Amino acid sequence: MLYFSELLNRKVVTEDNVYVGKLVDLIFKLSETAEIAKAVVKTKLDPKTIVDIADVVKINGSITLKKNYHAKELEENELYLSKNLLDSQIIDISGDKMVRVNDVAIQNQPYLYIAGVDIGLIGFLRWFGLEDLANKIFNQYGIKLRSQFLSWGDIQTLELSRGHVKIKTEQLKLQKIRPEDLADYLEQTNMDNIGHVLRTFTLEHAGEVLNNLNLNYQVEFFKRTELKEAARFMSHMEPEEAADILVALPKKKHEEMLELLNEPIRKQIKHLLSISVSPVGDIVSTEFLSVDSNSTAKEVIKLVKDVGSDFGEILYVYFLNTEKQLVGVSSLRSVILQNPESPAYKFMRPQIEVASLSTPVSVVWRKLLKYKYYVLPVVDKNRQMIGLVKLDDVSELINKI
Amino acid sequence: MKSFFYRWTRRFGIFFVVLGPGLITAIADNDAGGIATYTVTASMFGIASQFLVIPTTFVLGFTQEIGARIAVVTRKGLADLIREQYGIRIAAVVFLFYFVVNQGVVLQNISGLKASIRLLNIPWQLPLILTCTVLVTTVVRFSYKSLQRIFLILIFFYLSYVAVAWLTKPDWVSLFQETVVPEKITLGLNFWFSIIAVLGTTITAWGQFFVSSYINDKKLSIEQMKYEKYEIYFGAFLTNVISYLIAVAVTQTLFNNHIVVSNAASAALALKPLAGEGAFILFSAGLFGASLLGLTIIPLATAYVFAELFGFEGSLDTDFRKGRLFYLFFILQIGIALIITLFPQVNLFDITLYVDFLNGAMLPLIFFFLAKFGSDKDLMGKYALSQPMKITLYVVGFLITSVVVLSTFGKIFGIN
Repeated sequence: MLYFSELLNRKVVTEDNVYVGKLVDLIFKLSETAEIAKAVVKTKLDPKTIVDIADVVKINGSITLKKNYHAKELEENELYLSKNLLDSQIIDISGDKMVRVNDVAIQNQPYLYIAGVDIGLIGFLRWFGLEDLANKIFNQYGIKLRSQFLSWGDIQTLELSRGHVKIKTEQLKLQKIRPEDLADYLEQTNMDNIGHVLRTFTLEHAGEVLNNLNLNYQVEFFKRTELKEAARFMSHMEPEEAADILVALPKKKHEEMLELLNEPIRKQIKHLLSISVSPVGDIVSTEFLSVDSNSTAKEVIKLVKDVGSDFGEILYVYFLNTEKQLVGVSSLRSVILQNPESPAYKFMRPQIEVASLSTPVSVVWRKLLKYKYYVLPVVDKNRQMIGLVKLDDVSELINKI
Repeated sequence: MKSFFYRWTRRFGIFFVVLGPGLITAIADNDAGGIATYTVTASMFGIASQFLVIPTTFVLGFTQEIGARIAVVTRKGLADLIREQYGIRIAAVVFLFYFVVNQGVVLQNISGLKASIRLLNIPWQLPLILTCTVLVTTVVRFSYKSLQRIFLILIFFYLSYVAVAWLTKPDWVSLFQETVVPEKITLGLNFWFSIIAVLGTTITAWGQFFVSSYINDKKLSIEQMKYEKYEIYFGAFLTNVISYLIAVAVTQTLFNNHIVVSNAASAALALKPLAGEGAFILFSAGLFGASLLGLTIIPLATAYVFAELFGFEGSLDTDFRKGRLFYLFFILQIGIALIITLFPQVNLFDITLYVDFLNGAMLPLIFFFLAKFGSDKDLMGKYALSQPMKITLYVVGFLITSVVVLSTFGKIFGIN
């Protein structure tokens, strides 16, 4: 394990020992793993030369680069370690200030990634080279100074992109949050965390929270959970929700789960499943407006003016990332109300209910009613947008059945 | 006509909403140390000691306004920004200096409190301890809103100086003339050192930090900044009116009778035969109020900066459990000062001298930070300081720092 305080201002040389400059920052990927992607070196010519981490041969001792290293640029979803994370305020889930990031711990096996942040006294003293001295002094009195450490898994990566270092809360506090709010909160953390939290709850409580999760998360959760445990959780859910999940699960797991469920709920689910399983694919409309999530409100409005006449109606604008995946949605009203220069990723709603081509019409129908939407986007496996299903089309179909 | 009336009542309303940070910070600059300085210099040089009162008002308003602007735009205190932009090492060094300086100022105020209690001719130890206990409990228990009301009430204590000045029946016209064009005295080196001391007690390191933290605690919005600016200049104006009135009272009584005093308490005593029992009581009450306000605001300024630099919850609205470290620093400074004051053999005069020097030495650093953050486009966006404002800040910072350092050397080498 390395500490950023020990790397900062280290000499950077090439393999043949030519002096390049000093390390001033690192760049990491904004993800669950927080991989270090690039290093920022202050050279004579450029105070912010960005170097690919693949070109860094050695980081212990002096930092050694490959002879012909490449200059890079900061990409989307990347943040500076020193500029964006170090010294930042850490807040807990209720927004109370806790402490600042005193140091950043970096794991170098199997690859470089951020293991966590140091928030303790030791992390503070390290900057002054007083770590060993303090340890010695306190040891004499029989006190062992311990590092206070917040692991990367405890930090909400999503909030980090908005400039907040927000921690995921203690389980005890979570118990008190309403299931609806808790589900929203969990959707912003990761899958492991969802499982971890739900297992600390009673089955009834966990069932309620599961009911409120987005279908994608529900399915993912049940895919990952071992069969018997999954059945126990599902037995405490609403039959409608459970049916939706079962349809989306692989056929084998679907059938096995059904056998393991409690008798009353199994009956209800079977009944629900027997009703329409007609997929939504038949009524998908491809008339939708999508733009890059980096576009500003002004650009979106211009686009609506330019192409709007080709559309029957435009209620929502959908936002895509560089991989053309659906990442957000905004109503036209909301776009118009924004500051013209504001980029879409700032105002769009990132949590979106979606359907896939194989989602049964009944499921879509319930979703539309539950969330009071007029339309639901339809995406493929890669979360690329295919089209829309509209409430009136669905209603018509349901009526026919 | 109706809309004119409406507009002005509305403006007046907003002014009352933003009222607090600028007024309280500026008035607290007239703490026990400040009152002592105004009194001593006025007993030596009369109203001429207020020679720089008008430029001081502007400089105080100007620097506080920049601090407020940074706070309102970035939603961060000055100390927050120091930590985030300059890292943990600089943050720790700044805090160390700052803590020591403020500890000294707190000490000045607690001895002011002690002096005002002693004027009552009663044993001072127990009342002093009791006052401090009540003060600490109040700050810990009460919310921002209630505390602000208490601060504003404490400001009314300063009205006693208005009354004292009025009791001495001054001839205003000749006093103003003497202020702007001093004639009655020889303008030697001593005179200039005194002038500088007056300026130095008004512009303080802690004031710059406090105004930004306090504004954030008040959660002012950017739309209110315009009114906040008026409030700050109003505070600076009122502060200097009060220091001027103190000088008027002392000039009319002590100076005109050639009585030179060495501190505020002896000035109060000397007033008694000259201006009557009423003036004595009012002057003492003023000292009491000023000490109490200083004793609250300055340790708070330390606690705010500690919380911001190291990222702990620090707001007058937090309860003790959440804001433990914030309140701990507040209590710590009062505790240390109280213990030192209870030992009568400590020479407070020496301590005051070094405190003034350290305060002067810290000012260039703070002005540098103000200019740096204030003109940083990434932080301030369209509210960034214009080039002339930035230069003015540097010039003002340089001038104040040099005069404060100069005056301190003057005091050390006994020129005064």
